[in-house]
Parts: sequence; structure tokens; C-alpha cells
Amino acid sequence: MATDIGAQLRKGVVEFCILGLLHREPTYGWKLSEELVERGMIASIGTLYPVLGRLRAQGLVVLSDQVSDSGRPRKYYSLTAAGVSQLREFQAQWQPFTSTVSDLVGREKI
Amino acid sequence: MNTSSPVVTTYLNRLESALAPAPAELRAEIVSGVREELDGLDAHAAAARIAELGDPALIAAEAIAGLPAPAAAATPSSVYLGFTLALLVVGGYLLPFVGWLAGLALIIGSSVWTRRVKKIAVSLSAGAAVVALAALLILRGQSYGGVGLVLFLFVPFVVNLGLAYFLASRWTSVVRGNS
Repeated sequence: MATDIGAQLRKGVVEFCILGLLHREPTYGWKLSEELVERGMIASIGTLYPVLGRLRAQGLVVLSDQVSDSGRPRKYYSLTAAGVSQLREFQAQWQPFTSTVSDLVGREKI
Repeated sequence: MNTSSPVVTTYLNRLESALAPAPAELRAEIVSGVREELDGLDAHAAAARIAELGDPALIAAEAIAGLPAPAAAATPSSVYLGFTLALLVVGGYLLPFVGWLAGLALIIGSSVWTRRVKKIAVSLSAGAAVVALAALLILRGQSYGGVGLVLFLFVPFVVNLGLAYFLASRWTSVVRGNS
């Protein structure tokens, strides 16, 4: 079976995409999943939770109970200070990284 | 939780069973994340959300594939299973009450059985204990009081033995599904 290039790439960056979403605003699991599935970053809500678990274990993300706009009790995920600095670090490296890779693989269509 | 329609309950049960090989904490997190979205929706809206979520088996496969390799590969120890079931069935005779309670604690503490299976096991086992104790107390002092003692000793044994078979079969199916 050929390696799914898209899947390999997504695996490396999906946790930073989650940090990015949570930096905009604290969000509950379903909403995170919906947004990431829509954009093709994860396959299903099943992909999301192991990543969230890792982020929590690393102290980058925390959980809190809140009531959503619709009045339902929800568990909201939000960034910790460590999460923000991890995201900042990623941001700083991402642009030069993609530009280096583009140089190496070539920018013209083969 | 009590406002859920049957569709939601069925879906959450299927999701929880499909996630049986996943660590308990992850399983609980996924199920509660989905539950909080589906709770309180009418049947029509819930069905639409469920269609959006997709097959529980796929969600579970994704979740398990997303775990770090060692955690996914770790096979739950059969020593734990044997010890737990032994305590459940005979623990109470070796160390009255405490041995049996320790068995229940190990059942609850395991990451292999789903919450539903644990609930069944603990409530049936506790039910048998209550029946046995009631038999002993009610029949005490009667001319056939010996019957109470026999019930007290055997009812929990028989029920717990049945539960041990049930728990062992659930365990085997999970561990097999894992490898």
C-alpha cells in the first residue's frame, strides 16, 4: 500500500492546528471536531480525543466545565501559558520550514 | 442524560462497546464529548448529528490508531483477570467482606471492561450479597434456620461464579479484538 502523504502530513501538524483553534477561543470537543473534519484535518471525532489527551498530558491544554451559548453544560478546552508558548514556537518555525521544503521539492509542477 | 432519545442511548452504547479496547479515560472522554452534544436534542436533530458522526466502529478505530504505539499494543495482564475473579468468587470466604469488596474494586479499576459491564457485575454481585444477608437474618432462629445459612453461603457463590464467566468472556473478546 502506498503511503498516504496527506495523512502523514496531517499527523505532524494536527496538534498545532488544535492549539491554534483554542488560542482563538476556548472550545468544546464537538465544535473542535466539526471544524477540523470540515477542513479535512482529521477523519472523525475519534482522531481528536487521543490528540487532546496528549495535549492535556503535556500541560498545553486544560479542561473546564462551562455552559455553552445554547445553555447546555459543556467541557471546554483552553490553552495554558505553556500551550500558548508552544504555539508561538510552532508559528515561528512553520513559515521558514514550508519555504525550505518548497525550495527543496521544487516549486514548478512536474 | 435522562432526556436522551432511544436512538442516542443506542448510539452511545455502541460507541462505548466499540471503544472497549481503548484506555478507560479516553473512552470516557469520547463518550461524554459525544453525549454532551446529543443530550437534549429531539430525535430528528439527534439522528442528523449521529449521521454526521458516523459509524462508532470507525470512530473507535481512529481513536485507537491515534494512541501512542506502546499503549495500544499493551495486552492487559491475564494475572489481573485471574486475581480479580478469584477475589470476586472466593475472596469473601477467605477474608470476610473485605476480600469480596477488593474483588469489586479491581473490577471497577480495570480499563478492559466497559462501564456497562462493570455496572452489571457490581450490581448483581451486591444484589446477591443483600439477598444472602436477608436470608440469613430472616430465617435466623427459625426451626429451619439452617436453610438461611446455606443460602447465605451459596447464593453469592453461585451468582459470583456466573459473573466470573461473564467477565472472563468480555475480557477475552476485548483482548482478542486488541491484538
